Amino acid sequence: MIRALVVGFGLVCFSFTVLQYSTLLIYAALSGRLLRDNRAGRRPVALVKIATDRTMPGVSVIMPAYNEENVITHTTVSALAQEYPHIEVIVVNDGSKDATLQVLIDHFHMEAYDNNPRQGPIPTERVHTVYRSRVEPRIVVVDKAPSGAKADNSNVGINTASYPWVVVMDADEFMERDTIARCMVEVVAAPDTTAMVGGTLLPANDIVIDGPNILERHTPRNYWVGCQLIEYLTAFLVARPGLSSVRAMPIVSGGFGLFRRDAVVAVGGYRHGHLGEDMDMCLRVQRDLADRGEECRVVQVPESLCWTEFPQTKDVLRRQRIRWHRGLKMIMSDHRSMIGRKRYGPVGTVGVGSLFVFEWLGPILEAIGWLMIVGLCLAGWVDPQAAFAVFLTTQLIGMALTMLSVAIMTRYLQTFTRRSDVLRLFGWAVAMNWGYRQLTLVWRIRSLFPGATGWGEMPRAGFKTNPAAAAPGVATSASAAV
Amino acid sequence: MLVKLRAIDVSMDALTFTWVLAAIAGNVVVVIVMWTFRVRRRGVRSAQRDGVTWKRAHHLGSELAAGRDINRKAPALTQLLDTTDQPMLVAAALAVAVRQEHAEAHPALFSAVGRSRLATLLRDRIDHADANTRIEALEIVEVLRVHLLLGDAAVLTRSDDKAVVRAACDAVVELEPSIGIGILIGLVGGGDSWVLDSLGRAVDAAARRETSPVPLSRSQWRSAPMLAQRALSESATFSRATVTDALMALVEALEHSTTSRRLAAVTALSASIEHPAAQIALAGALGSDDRMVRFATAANLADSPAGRDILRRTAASDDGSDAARMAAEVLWTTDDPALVEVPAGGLRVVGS
Repeated sequence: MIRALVVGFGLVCFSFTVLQYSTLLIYAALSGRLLRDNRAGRRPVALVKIATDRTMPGVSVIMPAYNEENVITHTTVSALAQEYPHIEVIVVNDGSKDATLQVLIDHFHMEAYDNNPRQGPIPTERVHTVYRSRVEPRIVVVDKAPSGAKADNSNVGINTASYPWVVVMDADEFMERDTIARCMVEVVAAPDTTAMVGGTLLPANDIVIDGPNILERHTPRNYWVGCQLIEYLTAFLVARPGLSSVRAMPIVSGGFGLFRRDAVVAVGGYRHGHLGEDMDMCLRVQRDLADRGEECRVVQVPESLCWTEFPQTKDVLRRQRIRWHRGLKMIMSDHRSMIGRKRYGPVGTVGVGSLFVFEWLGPILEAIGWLMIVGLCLAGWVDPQAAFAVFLTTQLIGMALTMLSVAIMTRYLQTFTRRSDVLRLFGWAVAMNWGYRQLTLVWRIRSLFPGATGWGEMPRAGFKTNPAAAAPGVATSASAAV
Repeated sequence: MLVKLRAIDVSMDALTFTWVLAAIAGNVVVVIVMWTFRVRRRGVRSAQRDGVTWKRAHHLGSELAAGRDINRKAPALTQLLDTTDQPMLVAAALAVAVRQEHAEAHPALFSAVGRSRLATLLRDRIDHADANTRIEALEIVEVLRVHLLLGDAAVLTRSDDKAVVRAACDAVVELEPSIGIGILIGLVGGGDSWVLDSLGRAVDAAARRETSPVPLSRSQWRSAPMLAQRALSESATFSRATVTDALMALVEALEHSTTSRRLAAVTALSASIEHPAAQIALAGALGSDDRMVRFATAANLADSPAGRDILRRTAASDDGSDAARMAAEVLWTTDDPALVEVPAGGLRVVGS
């Protein structure tokens, strides 16, 4: 009886593994086809038409900021330097304890113009003052009561926005000059149905900037950052473009996303207190539009790049991943009713369904599976050589799939072109599968049990602006000890 | 446990099968790594080669667009297009240079392009089955004004693919605005908002280049705020159209159910700001229930002295609307000497 149960569970795990790997392969094929296509985002003429057309709709870039004095001017400058005709930058200061607000006031010559701003369509914490610049009319700073919640800060930004499209991003992110134009190309392709556009997040830990320009782009030297990069490449260059191709993308990353403002306001913006507020908002928008019988197009643009500082230490990363997984639990609780319902189309069945199966159920099955194999080996029921063969095979297949994302990046994005950078990427693709992945599995299981959900303090290294600091072999503040 | 692979008539035990899978996976890893490095090397080489061609073409395009050294550069451009093995790359670089030139590009550039073989190459691409290839060709036809392909572009305005239709319409509008407007009017009833945007651009293009009236009837321009703006600004341009009717159409559009129409109406009225009727409509729009309309109106009013006058008067009123606050912001950030302080009690204009 027990033997039958064990064999049965083994078959379930085997089937799940086959399903997971084949799904990733299908996504990779779809993503490759999407990236190979001569789409508007890959045509220089289409991009320059967007960048020089004064009839294009405006975009408000919203940056919630808390204690970002080291980076806020760099990120604001990168937003203002976007090659797009109508841009507005809204920095929402969430009661920073450092000099974030003063840095902005000094750098952009800002002065208060409204000490009693009216509440917008989305309820938020109280806004103290709105500042405007005397030299740069496109920038607004909103100083508000501290909430400790990105959701509230994003909602304040959405309330303040003047334009019909909003970009919500973190205040420690640096955009390429054409990041927003590449997203708006997708909006122009289908202006009546596009509601959300996602980009690709890459680590800013090892880039060198000069004003609004990125001078050098290097792959990370830090173990944790390197392994995260491989995870992100798999997500942004394989999984999401694949899901986007079949109209099943359930999320646009909270780190960088372009949203139609009226669609976000209609669902009340981001939900305060929700641990997966970005995915929750995306799904609520899609549900709302589907319930109203309107088409909702959610697109991933792999070429639209945004550079953000990744966690460099195990502790910060652990807190992040536990929080993310607890957010996923809330998402499953709120939105699993979308699975299988015709009204929500592929995003309900394929998008939310794959989240449930691969992101929620998957780690549980995997953890139980490995524990069982170890237990059975110790009990003498399973030949250790056979167990090792299974382990090695799954590891090698996993490595092949993660390396596929590196291959896709090298072939189509060509962001890292130096041989040493590509070699380092493959190194991280190997390292990620031996230790890092298993550790994140432990954290995901840990998140199933009650515990703290806060972000804690994430020390910021800031952006490198001195080219000499990025020379090989030179220790930098970004290369934190493992 | 035996694993049977019928396709290759092999059976083996499960452990051996697992080792075989591991070996295959290991080989796949090696193949992926080797392929990636090969692709990287090829990509770097072609990027270097393409970069040289792009820079040369872009430089020629910028110089000609600005009208500098035409006698030497125009033949060089024609020769480059005729001899390069990357004509689409050269054409794209020229198109980018033209769009980046803020003023209208010098006609010598378009003549140089017209004398080359580019039209023949673009015709082949317009006839291509792939929609993206056609659209790319149409974009270049539009920006480089390849008049020889006007007919080919006009035919594609009846394509089943909406993206191709849009690119074709944009190309026709750029080559012959009045023909483009006629085609776009026929598409207005289709419900796509891009048609209105293209129509607005077409009307602007026609106003810049042509003096003859655009033949339209009232039932047609009522759906198109940009066309109503043309009637408003030119009064009797349209047959059976009057200024009052044009204003009514635009005011109706201010209350349309779709955001795109409302914003298009604001833009259309702002383009005719010198007309008192447009000023009245825009002053009213500052108090609209739709926040986006209020802010768009205020932003548009800031662009002209008459508009700033309206905003200044609105800012001084007591209704406390957020449009008044936007007016304060606008007065603050233009070179208008009027400054606005915002003490705790409300707005106060100083220094005017």
